[in-house]
Amino acid sequence: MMPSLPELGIYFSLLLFIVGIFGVMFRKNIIFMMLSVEIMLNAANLAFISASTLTNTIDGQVVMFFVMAVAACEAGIGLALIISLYRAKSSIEIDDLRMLRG
Amino acid sequence: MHDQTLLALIVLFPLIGALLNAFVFRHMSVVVSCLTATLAVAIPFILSLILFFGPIAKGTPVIAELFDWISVPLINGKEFNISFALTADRLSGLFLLVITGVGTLIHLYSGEYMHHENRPYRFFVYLNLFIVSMLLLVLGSNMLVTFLGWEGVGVCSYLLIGYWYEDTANSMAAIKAFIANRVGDAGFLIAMFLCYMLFKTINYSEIATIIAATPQNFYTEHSLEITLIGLCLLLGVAGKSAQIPLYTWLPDAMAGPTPVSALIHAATMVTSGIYLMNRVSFVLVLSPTVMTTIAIVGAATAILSATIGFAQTDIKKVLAYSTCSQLGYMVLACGVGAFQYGVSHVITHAFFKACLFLGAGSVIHAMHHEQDIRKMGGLFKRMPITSITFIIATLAIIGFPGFSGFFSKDAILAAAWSGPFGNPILWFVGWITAGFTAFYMLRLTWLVFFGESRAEHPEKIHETNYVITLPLIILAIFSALGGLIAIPEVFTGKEDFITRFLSPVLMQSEEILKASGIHGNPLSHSMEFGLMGASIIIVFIGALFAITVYKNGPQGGERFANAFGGFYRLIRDKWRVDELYNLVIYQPLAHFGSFLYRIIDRKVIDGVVNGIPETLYTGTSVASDAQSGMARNYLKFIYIGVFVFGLILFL
Repeated sequence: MMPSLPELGIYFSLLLFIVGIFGVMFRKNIIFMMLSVEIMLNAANLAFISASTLTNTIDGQVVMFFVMAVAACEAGIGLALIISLYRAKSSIEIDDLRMLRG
Repeated sequence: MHDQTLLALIVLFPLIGALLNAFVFRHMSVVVSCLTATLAVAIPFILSLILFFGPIAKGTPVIAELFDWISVPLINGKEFNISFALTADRLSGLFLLVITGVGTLIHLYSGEYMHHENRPYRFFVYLNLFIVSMLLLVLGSNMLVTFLGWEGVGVCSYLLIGYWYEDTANSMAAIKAFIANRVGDAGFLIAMFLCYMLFKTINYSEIATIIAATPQNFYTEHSLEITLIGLCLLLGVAGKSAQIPLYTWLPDAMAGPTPVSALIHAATMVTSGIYLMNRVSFVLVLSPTVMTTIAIVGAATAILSATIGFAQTDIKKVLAYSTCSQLGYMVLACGVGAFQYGVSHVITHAFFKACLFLGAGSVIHAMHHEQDIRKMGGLFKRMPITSITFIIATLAIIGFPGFSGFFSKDAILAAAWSGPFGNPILWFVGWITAGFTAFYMLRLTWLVFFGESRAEHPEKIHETNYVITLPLIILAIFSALGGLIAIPEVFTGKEDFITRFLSPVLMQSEEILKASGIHGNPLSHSMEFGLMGASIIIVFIGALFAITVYKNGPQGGERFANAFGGFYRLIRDKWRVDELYNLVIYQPLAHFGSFLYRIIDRKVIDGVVNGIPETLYTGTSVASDAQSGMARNYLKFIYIGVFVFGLILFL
């Protein structure tokens, strides 16, 4: 028998999250890495909503709004950081930015 | 002044002398150093005379409790208390006189002998410290104070034997003396511990009181402990008084300056074993096993070292082996139960051996540091005072009738026959040794003083000055007359002086022997004269044989050597005892040591010590490599960590 829609949402969120992880791990461009982080956040949101539907509670949906707010802030600050990094190093390749090593 | 103050001053003066020379008179001339050091011993000699002829001769021991040395509360509520106390009774009184008296002469002599040294003050500091240690040794009221002096003479002998430490051979001799002494010291220490276990005190007079209360208790129940104590003490005595098996250090100790040899051999260190055996005689006589062992060790040492004396060519080595041999006599005397004759031989030996050594020093001085008797000869005409004093001392050591050694040695031989633990075999060994002594001493005297001169420049040899000859003359007089303390009963009709004088000290051991039914066989007068005649005969045989063989110089000895061949080579090589020790003790220890070094030290200990930082270093370098600065790597670690953590939570 087919799983119900919220269950499918959970599975889909897992898939999305893994896609996001791989994006962060294997992309070298910081902008793409940020996009991947957004994907992961959206995967988390989807998981919250699905779980809240499954358990008939509203908490998950509330948390989703907070996450969207945080993600918006993160995108703004992150882009600002990327611009100033580009000014300093003329590059947004993540592997060129390795000044903090042991 | 109180007698106690006098006693404390006797020890204090040499100490002050040493400190003055060490810190104040460092850059003064040898005259200042020598006078300070000599006075620091001469004043105690006068004080000792006052004490000796005052309270000690009257029979009241002088006891000075200086301070509480060690005071430890024990768990059973009692207290372990050792006070730094000095006791001068008749036994230590005699030793006091010998140490300070002969010591003064040797100090005086050293002033001339060492005057060409760079920093003679160092020598005099050591000499004075030697006297301090020896005084503590004989004056200590308990075993611990004695042990302090016991160790002190060990250290000072090490410093003095190695005085010319730039020379490796001298340093090695010093180390050998020190190690042989340490072996003996271990024996003394163990004996001290056992005494404390058994008697709960290490104070001599308290031990004596405890034994006197229940002597039979110690034969039966505690005989094992008593035997152990006695054997451990014997080991200590063997170390200090150069007995088998620890005698090998004494001949090597000749590496030090000659006055040192005189001091070590005559007045101080080597006599401490005899002193100790007298001091604890009441413990030793409780065990016949111990007494017999002591007697056998003494007799064996006497004859073994006398044979080695036959073939030595170094003037000081011959004298060194004669010291070993004479010490064997003294130990034999103690072993057969005639402790007082051990002391009388110590005293006469102190005079004639000091005279012999200082005489040898005078010869060496005049011969410009030539010590080989084959290159001497004919010195009698050129050094009359040295020669006459040396010959008097020789006559004394071989026991020529009328000289001091005759009476003290004869008393020992008579006791070896008739004493409580005596036995004709012991007498026979001592008797043969007397002949051997006569042989090698006459060989020495003849080769050095008579015949043709074999020196390169005989005309340059002349008598040394009065600083050297004065001590020689004084010592020669005492060598001739010192035997008066042991003139036997057969001549005077009353008991000899030394037996009467030491009877308060040795009374207890005699009573113990009497109570246990062990007694000597009193000699009839004819028998005593017979024994005396026998020893006179063998002394004359030995002496005449030596003169016959060596009358034309050392060639006679070579014919003698060829006749005996292998046996001669064996005794020339000192029975190869050093080689035996080398093979049996030194080599295995050296191999074990190198095993420890190669395997345990280098591999195990270094491995652990270096391994820990190496592991840490490798570990940290891996950890620091992980901090690559690459954000994607960090992320990987974070994800892996989260994954693993999640897995753990999930499972």
